[in-house]
Amino acid sequence: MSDLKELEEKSIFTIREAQARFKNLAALWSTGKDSTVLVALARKAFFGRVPFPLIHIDNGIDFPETYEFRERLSKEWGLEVLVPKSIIKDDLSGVRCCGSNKTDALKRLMEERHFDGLFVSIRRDEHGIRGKERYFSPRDKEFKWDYKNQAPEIWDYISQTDDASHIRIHPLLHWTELDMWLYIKQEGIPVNPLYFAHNGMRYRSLGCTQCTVGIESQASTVDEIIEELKTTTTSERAGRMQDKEQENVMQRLRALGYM
Amino acid sequence: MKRLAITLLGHKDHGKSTLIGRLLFDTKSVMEDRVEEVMKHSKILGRPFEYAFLLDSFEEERRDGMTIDVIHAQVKGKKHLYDCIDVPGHRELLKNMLSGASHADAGILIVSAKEGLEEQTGHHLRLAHWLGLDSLMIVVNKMDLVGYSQQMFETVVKEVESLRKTFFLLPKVEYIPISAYEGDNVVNRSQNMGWYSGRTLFEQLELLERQNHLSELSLRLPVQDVYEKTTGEKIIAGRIESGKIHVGQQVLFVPSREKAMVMSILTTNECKTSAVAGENIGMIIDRDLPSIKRGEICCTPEDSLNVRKEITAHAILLEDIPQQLVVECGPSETECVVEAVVPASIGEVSTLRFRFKNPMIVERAKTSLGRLAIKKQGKIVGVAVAV
Ligand SMILES: Nc1nc2c(ncn2[C@@H]2O[C@H](COP(=O)(O)OP(=O)(O)OP(=O)(O)O)[C@@H](O)[C@H]2O)c(=O)[nH]1
Ligand SMILES: [Mg+2]
Repeated sequence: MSDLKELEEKSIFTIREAQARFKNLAALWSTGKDSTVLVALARKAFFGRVPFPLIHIDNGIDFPETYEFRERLSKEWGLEVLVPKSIIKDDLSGVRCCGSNKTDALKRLMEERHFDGLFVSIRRDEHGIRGKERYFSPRDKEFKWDYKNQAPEIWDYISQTDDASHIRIHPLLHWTELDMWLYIKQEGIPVNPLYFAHNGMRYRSLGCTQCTVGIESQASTVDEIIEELKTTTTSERAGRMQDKEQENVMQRLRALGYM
Repeated sequence: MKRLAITLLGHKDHGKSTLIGRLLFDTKSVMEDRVEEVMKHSKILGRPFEYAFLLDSFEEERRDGMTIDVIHAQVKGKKHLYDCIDVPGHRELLKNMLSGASHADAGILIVSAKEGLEEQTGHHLRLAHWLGLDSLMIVVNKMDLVGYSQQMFETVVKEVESLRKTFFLLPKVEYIPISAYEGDNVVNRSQNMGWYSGRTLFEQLELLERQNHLSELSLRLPVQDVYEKTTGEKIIAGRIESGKIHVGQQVLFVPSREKAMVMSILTTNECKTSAVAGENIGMIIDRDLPSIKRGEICCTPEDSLNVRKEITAHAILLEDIPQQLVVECGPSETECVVEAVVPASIGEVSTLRFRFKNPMIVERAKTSLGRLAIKKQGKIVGVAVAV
């Protein structure tokens, strides 16, 4: 079995397991590469049709490329996309756009629609704290992550408890940034054009226009991105404002239910 | 490049996190900004560079110098890509330890030369055996703190060997004297232990072979779910736990004992004529069988696979359990009554007898059909391996 196939199998198994165990699923879709790969994997898992809605939290100041990409792909792949609006205001992390504001918008939608499982495309290699996540992670109403006392996940068995308001499902936990691009290449998955270099700059990780920081790069194709990542010495989120501070900030934010 | 999942094992503070940190560092498998962040944080805490912080990322873990929860880290080898699993050594954190170690192919047991054998050393050795890890390596750590003494190394080796004998464990293992902190014999050969001519840990890791014979065993395809297309056609989905399957083959579903023929196999990529262990497939059969749902196991008609009303298993309980519980085996679950044959304290390996309310398939196998989860109100309170 090839290397990417192995990663894919684990994700497909997790996605199907979620579908079998939960009644009302949804997936976060930022239009970024990771969540787009997740959607592609869900299409595979269910033979072409994604059986749950995708959530794109919109604060109105995303890049035009992001909106265009969202519209194009949702038509092409027949996706149901929910677009809760988030409000721009100061939040705890000092980030005005995303952070808690997006989380609030999501909380409202989750409550309205009674979703009991939410796919989130995080990966262990993104950040030390994310490395501590499980594939299935219960969250309470406030989205709090009880990181000091996580439920056991042994072999493929998961814990499902009544006191959780929903379960986060992380089918991409074991992939690295480079794996994502190798897979995008192999599968020909469409990606948001913001990832490709334009005038010597590209985005490695996407947020909205306010909190996304570009990197200097000449990589304007998937192949060039792969080559770039093979020799990079910094991690993907090095450019994210929320993560710039100490490690502890990310931990506090995640414990509080931030995405 | 093959992936290999390696779990660390050993008593708290013997250096599990430090060793993975060192492996990451010396193989250049970690990004510079991570190293910088650890450097900064070590300084804030008034400590020299803590390799363990490359793994221990919770504030509490760093403050208290102990791993609370599992983390996986990728170490790049020449032959393998190692998914190194760092687990906590504290006994109270066993649920987290198993959440990591249960995903490993092989293990590295670490014993500090300074402290020698301690309680969790033996416990983790028993767990490694219970988990059925394909191979185990043993490193004697903190050699720098005992003056790189050959005698100290040999004392520890003797202690571990006599412990292993009491469990009748595995034929032979390699012992490697290392200093995870200083980097001796981890990736780079030590300049301080001329008396040791064996392999470094990294060389030893590169010699591992992943055991992969599940495809050679009998077909076991637990039905994970059944999807109905808008056309009414049904796709049976599941992961092949062992064996192979091909189009045109006769299959038997148990417990329903329904027979059918495989019409097509849809893997996640395309239509295929066959599939093997490890693949998640969709299968279309030649008839509509309403009894085929999650929990049925697909095998071959000549197979003697049958449901069990009772089984014996080696279990590890994470807390006290009531007599009546729910157990899961692969995609099946049932209420059951449990009775201790050979009791053991929480966290130790006990022998339990399970009497199922609804008979289900459990077999002695290193697949999901040989492994059980014991649940109380949806939460895992114990795990077991069928014997
Ligand atoms: N001098 C020396 N110190 C070491 C060595 N290996 C680890 N240490 C130190 O021992 C302490 C404990 O190491 P850890 O790696 O955190 O131990 P652990 O096994 O992960 O402990 P738990 O996570 O609590 O189970 C740290 O302060 C390390 O710096 C070594 O080879 N030499
Ligand atoms: Mg540790």
